[in-house]
Amino acid sequence: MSSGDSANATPDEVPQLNLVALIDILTNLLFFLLTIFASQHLALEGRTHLTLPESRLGFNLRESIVVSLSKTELAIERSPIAHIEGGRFDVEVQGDQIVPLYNRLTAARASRSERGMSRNHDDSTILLMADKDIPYELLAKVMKTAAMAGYPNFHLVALRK
Amino acid sequence: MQGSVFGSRRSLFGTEAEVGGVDLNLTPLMDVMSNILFFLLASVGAAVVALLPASVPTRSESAGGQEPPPSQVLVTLQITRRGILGSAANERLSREQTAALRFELPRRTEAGAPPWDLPYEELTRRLAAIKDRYPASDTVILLPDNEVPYEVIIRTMDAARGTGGTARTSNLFTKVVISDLVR
Repeated sequence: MSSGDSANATPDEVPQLNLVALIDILTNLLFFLLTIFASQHLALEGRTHLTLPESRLGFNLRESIVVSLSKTELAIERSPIAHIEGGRFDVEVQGDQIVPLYNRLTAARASRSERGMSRNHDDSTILLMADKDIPYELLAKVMKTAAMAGYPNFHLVALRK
Repeated sequence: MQGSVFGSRRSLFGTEAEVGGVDLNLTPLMDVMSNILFFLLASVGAAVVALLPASVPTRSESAGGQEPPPSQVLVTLQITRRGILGSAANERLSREQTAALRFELPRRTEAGAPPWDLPYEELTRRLAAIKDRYPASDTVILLPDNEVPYEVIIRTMDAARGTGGTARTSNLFTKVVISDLVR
C-alpha cells in the first residue's frame, strides 16, 4: 500500500495510491457530521403522541428552555410535569397558571441568572413544541404560565416544509 | 505519505508496516464513505426544524408607547370554527377607514373538506393589501378560539408572514402576539 516507490516504477506498472490517510480524514469528517446531524434533531425522538405541524417560514434553532406539549403530557426539557386527561391537566391549575410548570420555570430562571447565562443571550424565550392537534385552550394555559414566570416570548416549533 | 494527518504513524487501519503486507482494496470503502459524507453534508445544510417567534401580552411598567404613525395599523385576526375575522385599527384613522379594513373569510365547507380548512391564501392577499396601504404595519394579534388546533395557529402565522396557501409575498406581518378574548 505504499506509494514511496511509485516514482521509480517502470512505465508498464500501475502506480498505487495510498488511501489510508484520506480514509482517516473522511472518517473524522463523518463522525463530526454525524454528531452535528444528531444534535439538529432537538431530541424529537422518543416524544410519543407529538406530531409537529409544518411551516414554510421560521428561524433556525437557538438554545432555549424546551417545553413540549403532546397529546398526553406536558414536559419541560424532556421531564414530564403533567398528564393530559380529558382535555385537562392532571395537576394543580390556579386560573391559567399550571403550578408545577410555573415552579419549574421560575427555578430554571433563577438557576440561569446564577450561572450568568442571561447576560449572554435572550433568556425570556421558550422553545414551545406542541402537537399539531393540541387545542389552543391547553396551549394558552402553557403560554400564560410561562409569561407569568418571566418568559413572555416563544419560538413555536414546526417542521420546515 | 507518513501515516495519519494527526501526527501519528498509526492510522485507523494499522501502521504502515502492518498493512504493508496485505493488499487491501480500499476503493469501495472510499465510495461508501464519500456517499455518506455528501448525504450528511446535504442534510446538515437543510434545517429540519423551523422556529416561529410569537409572544403573549404582558403588563408593562413603562408608560404607553408613542402614538403610531398614520402609515401603521394593528391587525387583529380572530380565528373561529366559522372562519377568520380580520380587523385593523389605528387611533388616527376615522371610523369609516377602520370599517373598510374589516374582512371576514369563511371556512371552506365543501364536502370532504378538512374540519379546519381555512382560506389562508385569501388571508395573505387581504393582509398584503393592508400592508400596501399601511406599509409601517408589522404586528398582528391572533385571537384563537379555545378549540382551534395548534396547526391552524401556525398556518395563520405563516399566512400573516406572507406564505398562505400557494400565495407567496415578502414578509408582511412578522410580529405575532397570541392572546384571547375576554369572555
